[in-house]
Amino acid sequence: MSAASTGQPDLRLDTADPRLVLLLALGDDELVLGHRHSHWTGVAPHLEEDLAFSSIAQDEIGHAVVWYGLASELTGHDPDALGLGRAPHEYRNAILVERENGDWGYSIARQYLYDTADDVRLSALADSAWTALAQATGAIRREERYHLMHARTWLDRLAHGPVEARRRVTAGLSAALRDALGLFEPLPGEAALVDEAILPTSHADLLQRWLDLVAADLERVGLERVLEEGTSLADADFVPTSSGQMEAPAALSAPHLERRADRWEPVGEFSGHGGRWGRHSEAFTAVWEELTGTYRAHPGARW
Amino acid sequence: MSYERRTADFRARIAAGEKIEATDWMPDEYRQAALKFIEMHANSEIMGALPEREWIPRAPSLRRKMSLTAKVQDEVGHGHMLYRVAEDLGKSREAMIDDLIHGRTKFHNVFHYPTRTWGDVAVIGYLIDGAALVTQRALLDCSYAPYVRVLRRICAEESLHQRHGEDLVLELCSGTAAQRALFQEAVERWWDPLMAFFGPPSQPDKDVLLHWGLKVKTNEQLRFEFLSTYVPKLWDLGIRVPDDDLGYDPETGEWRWTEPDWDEFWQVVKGHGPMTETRLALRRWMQETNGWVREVMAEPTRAIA
Amino acid sequence: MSNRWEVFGKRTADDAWQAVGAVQAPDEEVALLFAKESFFRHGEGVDVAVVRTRDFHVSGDPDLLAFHTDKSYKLQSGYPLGDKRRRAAEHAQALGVVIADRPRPQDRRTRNPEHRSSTSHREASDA
Repeated sequence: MSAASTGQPDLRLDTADPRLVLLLALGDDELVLGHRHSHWTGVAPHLEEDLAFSSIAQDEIGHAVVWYGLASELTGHDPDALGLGRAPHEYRNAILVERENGDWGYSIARQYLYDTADDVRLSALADSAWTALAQATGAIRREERYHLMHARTWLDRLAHGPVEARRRVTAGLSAALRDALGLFEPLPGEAALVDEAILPTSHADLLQRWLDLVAADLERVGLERVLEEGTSLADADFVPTSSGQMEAPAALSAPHLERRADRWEPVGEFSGHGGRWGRHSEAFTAVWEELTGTYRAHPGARW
Repeated sequence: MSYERRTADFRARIAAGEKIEATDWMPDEYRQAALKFIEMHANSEIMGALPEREWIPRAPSLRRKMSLTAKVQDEVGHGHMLYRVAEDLGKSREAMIDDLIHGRTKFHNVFHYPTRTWGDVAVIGYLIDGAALVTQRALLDCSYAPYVRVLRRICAEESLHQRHGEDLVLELCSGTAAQRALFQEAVERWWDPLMAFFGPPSQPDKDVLLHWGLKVKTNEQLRFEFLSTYVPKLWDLGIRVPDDDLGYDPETGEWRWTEPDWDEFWQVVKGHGPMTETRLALRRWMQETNGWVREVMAEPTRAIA
Repeated sequence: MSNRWEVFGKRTADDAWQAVGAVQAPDEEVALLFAKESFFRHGEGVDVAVVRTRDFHVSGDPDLLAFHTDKSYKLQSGYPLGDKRRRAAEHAQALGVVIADRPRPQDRRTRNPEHRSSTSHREASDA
C-alpha cells in the first residue's frame, strides 16, 4: 500500500497534538463508515430502504467533513487532503467501520452499534471545554438522532421478524460486537484530552454508558445473549502497518463483558493497539485504495 | 357501448388534449402500451444507478462523494416513483423487478455500457442526463396524468442533476491536461450510444406510443433539441465530438450527423450489451440473497419473543 | 398491496396537507421513515404524514361532485362585472352625480412616506 506509483506524496501529519488525533479518529470513523454504507446505494435489498440508507451514508461523510474542517484549522491542510491524502497507517478509524458490508443483517447490526456509540461519544463532546468542538456536535447530533431511529427501527423489525431475519441480525450483532468495543480504544494522548476536558469523559467511562444503552435495547428485543459473546477483540487478520522504525505492536485486545449485579460491565483493560494507533485489518487495504485512488492519481487537481 | 365505440371516444379525448387518470376506463392496448413504456422508464432509472454507483467509492473529493451518492439516490427514487405509477396499471413491483432481472423486459441502451473513468461520471451527469431531460420534459405533455405528475418531480430533480453534471464538466475542462483528457476520451466513447439513445427515426403511423399520446415528440425532434443544446456548449469548451460530419445546416434548419450502428443498438437493448449480463447478474444476486429482508418489509411486524 | 401507504406533506407549517406519493412499508413507523427518504430529500417540507392506501377511499365518481343544475352563483365566474362596472359609471356620469373634486391616492397600495407618522392614528383603508 504505497503511493509511490502516483505523483501525490502521502500527507504527513504531526500528531503530537492529541486534539488532532481525536479529530482524526472522529472524522476517519465517519468517512470510512460512510464509504462502506454508500456501497448499498443502488443495490439495497428494498427500494425505499435504498433511499434511506443512502442518506445515512451521505450524512456520515458530511460529518467527516465537519471534523476534518476543525482539523484543517489545526494543520492548515484542507479536508480533502486530510480525508483522502494520508498513508493507510495514518488513518485512525476503528476497525469496525472498515469491515466488509457483509449481509444486510451485519450492515444493520454495525449501523446500530456504531450510531449508539457515536451518540454516547457526541453527547460527551457536547460539553467539551474546546468550544469549537462542542459547537460542531450540534448539527451532527440532529442528524444522528434520525440515524438512531433508523437503526432501532430495523433492529426491532429484524429481531421480531421471521426466524431467518432474527437469525441474521443476531449473527450480525455477534460478528460486529467485538469490533464495536474497539470504538472505545483509548486514544494516544487521551489522558491530556481528559485533563483539559476537551474529551470530558474518558473512553473507559463512555464504554460503560454505551453498554448500558445497548444492553437495554438488546434486552427489549430479546437478544441480550449477544453480549455474552463480547469477550475479546483479538483477531488474526491485522495488517502490520509499522512506520518502519519499530516492530509492529500486538494487535488490540479489548476487555471482555460480564454481567455483574444488574448491569453489563467491561472487565479488564484494552491492550495492544488497534485503529486509533493506525493498525488496521486486511479489509482496510481495499477501502483505502478505492477511497483515495482517484485523488492521489491527480496531484493538485480541483474537482 | 361497444368496445370499438368506447375506444374511439377514448382516442377523441386524447386528441382533444385530455389527460387519462388511472381510474378511467382505457382500452387494453393503451394500458399495455403505457405499462410497458413506464416500466421500461422505471427499469432504466434503477439500472442507470449501477454504472454511476461504481464511482461513488472512487470519487476524487469528499464533496463529490456526497453529491454523487445523492444523485444516484435520486435515480433510485425516480425508479421508486415510476414503479408505483406502473403498478397502478396492473403489475406488481415485485413482478416488474423479477422480469427485469431475468432479462424479460428492457432498459435504455446507455446503461448497458461500462464506466471506466471519472470522465464517464461527467458524461453521464451532463450529456446522458441532458438527453434524458430533453426526452422527459417532452413527456410532460403526454396523455397519462399519473405519469405526468411524477415526471414533473423527476424533471425538477433532473434539472438539479444537470447542474451537477455541468459543474463536473466545467471542473474537468478547466483543470489539468489529464482532467480534460478524461472528459474528452469519455465523450468519444459515449457519443455513439448517446446518438442511439434517441432511437432510430420514428415512424409516426406505426408508433403505438405516438398513437396513444404516450409520446408527443418524434425521435428526430428530441435528437435535434439535444444537439442544439449541447453541441455548441461542447464546442465552447473545446471538446471535440467524434463525428466529422456533425454540423448544423442553416439552409435546411437540421443537424447533419452520422447514424450510429443500429444493429448494435438493437443487440444492446435486447440484452446483449457489454455490461448487460454483469449488471443483471448483480441485481439477480442481490434479489436472491435478500429475499428474507423483503419478507420483513412485506409483513406486518410479528412478535416471536 | 396491503403494505402500500399514501404520503402527504406540508411545505410550510401553516400549509394544508398535500398528497405527494406512496411507499411500501410494513407499518406506520417504517412508512414515515421511507416517506421522508422518498419525497423530502431536497428540503420539500416541514412535516410528513402517511395513511394506508386501503384506508383511503376514493369516490372515483365525478358525478358526485358535479353541478347538475345551474350553480354559477357559487362561483366567481358567475359574477362577470366588467360590463356592469362600465355601465354604472356611464350612468353616474349621465346623471351628473360623480364626486370628482376630492383628492385620491394615485396608487391604492403606496402611501406617501412623508405623512406616515401623522396619519398613524387613523389608517386609510386599502379598499
